[in-house]
Amino acid sequence: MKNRRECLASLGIAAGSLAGLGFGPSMNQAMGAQDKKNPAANVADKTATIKITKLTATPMQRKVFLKLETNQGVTGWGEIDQLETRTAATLARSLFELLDGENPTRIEYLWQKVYRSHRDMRGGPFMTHTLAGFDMALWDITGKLWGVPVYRLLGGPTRDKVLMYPTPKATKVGAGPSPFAGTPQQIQQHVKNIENARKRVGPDGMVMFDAHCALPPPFLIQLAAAIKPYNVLYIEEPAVPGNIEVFKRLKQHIPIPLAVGEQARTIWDVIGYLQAGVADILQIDCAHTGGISQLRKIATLGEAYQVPLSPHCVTTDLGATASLHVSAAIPLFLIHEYYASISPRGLVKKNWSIDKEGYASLPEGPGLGCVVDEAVLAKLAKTPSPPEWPTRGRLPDGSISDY
Amino acid sequence: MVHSIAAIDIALWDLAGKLWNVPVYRLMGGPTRDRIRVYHTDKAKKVPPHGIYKHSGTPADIDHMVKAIARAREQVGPDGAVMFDAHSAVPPATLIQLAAALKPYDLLFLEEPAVPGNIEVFKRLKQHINIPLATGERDRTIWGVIPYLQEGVIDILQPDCNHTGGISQMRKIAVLAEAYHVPIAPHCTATFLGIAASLHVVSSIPLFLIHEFYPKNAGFNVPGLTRMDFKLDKQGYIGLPPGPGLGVEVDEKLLEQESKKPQSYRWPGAKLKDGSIADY
Repeated sequence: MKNRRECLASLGIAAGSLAGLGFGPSMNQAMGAQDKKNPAANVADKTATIKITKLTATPMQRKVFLKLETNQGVTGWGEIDQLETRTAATLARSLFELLDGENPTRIEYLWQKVYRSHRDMRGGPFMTHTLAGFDMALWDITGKLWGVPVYRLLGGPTRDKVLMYPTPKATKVGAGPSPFAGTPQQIQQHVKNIENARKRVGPDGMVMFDAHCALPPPFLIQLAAAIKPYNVLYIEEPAVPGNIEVFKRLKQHIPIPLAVGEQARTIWDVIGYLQAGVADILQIDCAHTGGISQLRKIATLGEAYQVPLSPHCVTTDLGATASLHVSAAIPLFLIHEYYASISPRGLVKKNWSIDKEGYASLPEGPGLGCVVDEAVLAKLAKTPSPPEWPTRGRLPDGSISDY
Repeated sequence: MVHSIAAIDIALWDLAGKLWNVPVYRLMGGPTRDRIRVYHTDKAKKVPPHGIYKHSGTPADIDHMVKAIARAREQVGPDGAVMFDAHSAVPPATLIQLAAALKPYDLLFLEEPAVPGNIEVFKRLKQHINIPLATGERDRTIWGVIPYLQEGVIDILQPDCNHTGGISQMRKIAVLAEAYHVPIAPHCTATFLGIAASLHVVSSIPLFLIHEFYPKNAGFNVPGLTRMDFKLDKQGYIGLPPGPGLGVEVDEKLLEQESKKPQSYRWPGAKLKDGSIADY
């Protein structure tokens, strides 16, 4: 058996001449494993003796950053999103008991170990969002160990660049959270917003409409009929998840593609939509669904039903990069959500950029390819950020609404 | 097409594993287990449909198969597994009768209960047969598999890594199966190259039952042509496949010699007693 170095040696080439031989930048990146700067380059035994030794969970504004350390000096980073941060950090520290001393490259095994650790917490959002942070960090470590970007461990890249929104050519109009009255005037307001968006992006651009679970079904059906001329790419979150019959009804009456999934956390949450044929686009969030491993599995279900993935994403650049690695490695993909403004300045240095046409370059590694500035993180962690439960979903009469 | 893609896919994973100097299962987030349950062993036996081309549906025919299964159960004991492979050769009506007679022997599964193609046949069998049904060796992609799962007619999926487009597609099939809580029991009649590819997949997926494993079957595996280290323990498990890559060595000289021999492929051509063509 030959290892990489011997393989290359037998080709009679040195690492420096790889580019000239048609190996892309990613292959050069792979050679980064040999680079002194990557501690993984010096790990002789990457499978038998490497062990997870430490977790640092740092709440920061509305996210929790996870740092997993190993006995070989290789570290991985992950992000927990959309949980109350003190609770999430505590849960992560408690769950670390299941990861401590384990081999970090056994990602699927460790995913199962955490996910199935408690039968009655299995699949809940607190569990899967926290698991997402761990999963990202494990892929990060493993990619660093093998010296490649994560998408290469996923069999990618399947594309050269990844289409993103919002951009000047792809814009989303939101419906919620807003008090809902169901009057013609309110419908006209939404129609007007969508019409304006279409004017801005032009006929070769994309307009999406986010119903945000805030518009009751009969109202959404009326609205959908009125926005037909503006060729909406999809209507996002047409209803609150939970009753598939509502989605069936909407699918029957709305001739615009329906996108669902940001609140769907596992393959088992997603299969109902696919089997009932009510989802045209899956909007799974890497940070909600148990991370890279589960997002990728959901993409496979989508592929089986020919339903493309259009990932939901409101994480910092760390979580967004994890999600991008998946998009770079799956066959059926539409467009990726991304908001640069969510990342505090200087916290995450990422290894990709968006071009004029709205495409992100492939996220280069090794691992996730992100560098977290720990001094900035420590500073941000010290800034008080009291837990903030959303209270936006209120109707004019003071009752609680979906949003 | 997909059988050819399988070979390419397996070679690409082998290459990637060697480049990064790790076993293939480590590129896929594994291992998810420490050892792999296989058959045939002293603790797991599969019984073929006797007289594969001769099903008459008479009591003697059924009795013949029942006896073979009873013998297998005796051999493996109550802590062993007995499987029955109907091989798509037993007509549905006969199979339903047979299955009723097999109930006392606690089969792990009944394999290939019908020829793939008409899901309604599987629905009928599922309704009448109280033994887990397994199928999948002839279903080649995620799209081939999804109807069985969606209709709930299959309890165990038997994808063949070499039939279904290789490691990449087999893994995807395992994901669909996981979504439906259907375990994988891979079909496998390949050389160590194909065996190892399939073993790397089951080393990295969560939901798995048992792996078909014929290391010494000269019909599939020319002695010495491909080599993979493995050790079968007393309970009928083997260790994880070695690496880097697939962890298989090919004797290229022997391969060249073998390929120079006149190829004596014969089309199977199963026939019934009356000379008509049979499924098998």
